Amino acid sequence: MIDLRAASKRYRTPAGEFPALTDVDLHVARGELVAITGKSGSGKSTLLNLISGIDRATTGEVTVNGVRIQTSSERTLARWRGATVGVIFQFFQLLPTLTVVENVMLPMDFLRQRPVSRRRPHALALLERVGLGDQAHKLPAALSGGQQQRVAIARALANDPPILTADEPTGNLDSETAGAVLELFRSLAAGGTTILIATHERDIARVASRTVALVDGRLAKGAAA
Amino acid sequence: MIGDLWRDRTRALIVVLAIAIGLTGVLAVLSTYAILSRELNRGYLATNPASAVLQIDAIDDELLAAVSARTDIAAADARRLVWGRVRVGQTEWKRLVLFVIRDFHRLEIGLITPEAGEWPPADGAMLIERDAFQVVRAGIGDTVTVEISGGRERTLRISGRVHDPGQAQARMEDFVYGYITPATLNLLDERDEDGSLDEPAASGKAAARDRLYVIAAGDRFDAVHVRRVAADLKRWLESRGHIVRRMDVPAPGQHPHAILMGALLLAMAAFGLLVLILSGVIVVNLLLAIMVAERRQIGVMKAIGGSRGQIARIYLGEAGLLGAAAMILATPAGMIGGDALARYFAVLLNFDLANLAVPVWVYLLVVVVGFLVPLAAAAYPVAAGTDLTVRDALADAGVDVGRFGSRRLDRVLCGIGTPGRPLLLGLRNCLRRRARTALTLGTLSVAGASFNTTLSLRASMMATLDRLFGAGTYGEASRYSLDQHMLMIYVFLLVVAGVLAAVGGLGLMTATSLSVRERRRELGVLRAIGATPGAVAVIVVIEALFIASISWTVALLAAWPFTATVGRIVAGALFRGRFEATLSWAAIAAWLGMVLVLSAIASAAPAMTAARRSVQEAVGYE
Repeated sequence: MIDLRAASKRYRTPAGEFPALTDVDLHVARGELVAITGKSGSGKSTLLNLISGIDRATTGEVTVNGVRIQTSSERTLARWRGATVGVIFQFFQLLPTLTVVENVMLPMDFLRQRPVSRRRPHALALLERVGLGDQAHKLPAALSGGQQQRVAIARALANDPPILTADEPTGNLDSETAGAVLELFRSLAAGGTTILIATHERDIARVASRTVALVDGRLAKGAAA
Repeated sequence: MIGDLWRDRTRALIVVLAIAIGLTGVLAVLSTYAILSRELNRGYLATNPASAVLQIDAIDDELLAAVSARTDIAAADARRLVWGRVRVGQTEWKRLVLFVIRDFHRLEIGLITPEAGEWPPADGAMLIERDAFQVVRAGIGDTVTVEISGGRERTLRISGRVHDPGQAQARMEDFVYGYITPATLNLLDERDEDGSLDEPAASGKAAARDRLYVIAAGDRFDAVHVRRVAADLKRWLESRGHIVRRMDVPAPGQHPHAILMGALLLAMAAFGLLVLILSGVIVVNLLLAIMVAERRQIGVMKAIGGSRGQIARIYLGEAGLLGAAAMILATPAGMIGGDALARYFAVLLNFDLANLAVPVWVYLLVVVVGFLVPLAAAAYPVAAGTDLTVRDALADAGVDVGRFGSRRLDRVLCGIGTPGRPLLLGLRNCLRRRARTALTLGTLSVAGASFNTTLSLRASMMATLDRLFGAGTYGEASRYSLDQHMLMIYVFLLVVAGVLAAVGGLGLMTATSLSVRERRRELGVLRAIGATPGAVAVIVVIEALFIASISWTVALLAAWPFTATVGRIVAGALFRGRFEATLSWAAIAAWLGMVLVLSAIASAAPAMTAARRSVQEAVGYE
């Protein structure tokens, strides 16, 4: 499903070249729930970015769901991402001018695979699934942080992607809400969705089927690749 | 400080351009005003204009001598003015005003200056005012056919060119001004076979002089004194049995069109200030965006002991730099513009400029305005941006969900859900920075209203003139002349619309660009959830097109009351008739196309920037 071979990412900064990831080899199978752990700045988010096609490896190969990321154009990657990867952010990043249901419909509008008439019912069904069916017509500002994160998960699922990436998805939630969100991830993984979660919280590592630790941009020794 | 502006260099350049446009306008208009108010009256006075002109039954040498001998009269002269027409081309006729001058070598009042050809004209020949050559479409040495009232068609040779600054521009009036001797007038009218010039017109002698030009003794620039002298003279003439048909006492020492020119320049100066204020709006937008972007930096400066005043001075300094840069651009442009405008007005008012020097006070005023406008515009954003607690300034949580939705209009827009989310994003984003949107919208609306009103005003004037002079009589002289008089106003209003559209376009470009910058993370999220670069660009362009469409609607709604009001004022002043207000639908349709193209162009660069930015850069995880 996900295959990284000697993937490295280096950023150019005014102070010189900064290695965010170095020679990462990683294979993730369908339906796995992988927790990527490490300290702040260890390269967790960069790894997620390479897998979701948000960023490209400087060297090495990244193949996701049969697509080689580094050889695809931005336009191709955008459509591929819309269909293949659901992205969940730490700060939810809902569009403030769209209602909850419109936020969930937005990826469907971009991908245009689902008929127009079926987009709203599907979005409402996803919101029911994350327990927010009654909040569908509110604006994000009217929701709590936990509710916003669940809307973000529903949005990530809009095009039924086989892969979800989540960057610190419970970092801004209280422990009870965080538990509910993790439970949602576990049920999605049980349904066959491949999920990668970047986190430094131990609770997530507990629900994950596998943990990958990063230290200074490299896979920690002993980490299962 | 310079670093902030350099980082925002494209937007800063736009702001500098906008301020420079306004400053250029102000400098051009002020210098034109300074040049013309000095030169116009000086040039006019050099012609020794009459204090009063009395139109009486007949003037002979004895009467002229008696008038000249009066102690309250410094000088007196007499001429005859004859109306006729002159053939232009095969069938077209233009109105002809012939000044019959007895002795071209002894002109004392209302001097005319020979420029080319004969001086004085031979009998059977005519001198023509220099601007009238373009009306008569003939040259020196050509022969033209003329006809005076009740006479037969005769031919006259054009023997020279003169400049008569006392007459309005011939093209504007659509008149031909000619200057002939009394003998030539007799040739034109065969009924005056004896050639006598000094007999009263009532006895059938057409060449008798009928206009008495006088210059008051004493203070000739004192309007009350001049009017009293003219009134005394009128009573004196009547006491001697003469019939005074009309008495004109123009404003002393002032060109006949000086008031019109002053009003027009005042309107232009007001317009220049309006453009400056609008450019100040763009400064407000830029500074607001800079202050938002600098929240963390401001927080850090405050945390390490910077006072609000110290921090505010940094950003006010940026505004001052923008003003200084604009002045560097505006000064040469304004000087060139002022020179061109002064020359244009001089041609329009039919006089020559002897000196184009611009007084120092004009430059000083522009420097003051150039600094004051950006500083005044920066005051609010800087005050608001520096009024933050350290904690607030350092807090940042990505996409800001807190603003939208708290107001009624937001909720109304949220009820519109059918057009598709990308379109909705464009529409609703306009309401997130509503003050900024309102300012951009206002500028474009005023530009559109000005454009629509101008062309609707012309269409309405034509309809009104059709009613007055009969439909389908476009070539009719009065209708044409009135239209030509209005031309200056139409051109001015169209220039206003053009400049406002340019400033509005720059404002829209700045607003869109700032919106893209502020929503950098949000646009990155769109890309992350599957939006192609093109889709993101379209969202940005839609936002600008939406603002343009609203501004077009406002301009359309404003066009009717503006046209009706301005039209009634103009019609009342020109012909005291009912004004036929009508809208120019062609103009309204054209403006829709223009404003949409303008907004598409204005948003193209920000849209491309938004589309080009990588998702990683926009989302910026780590």
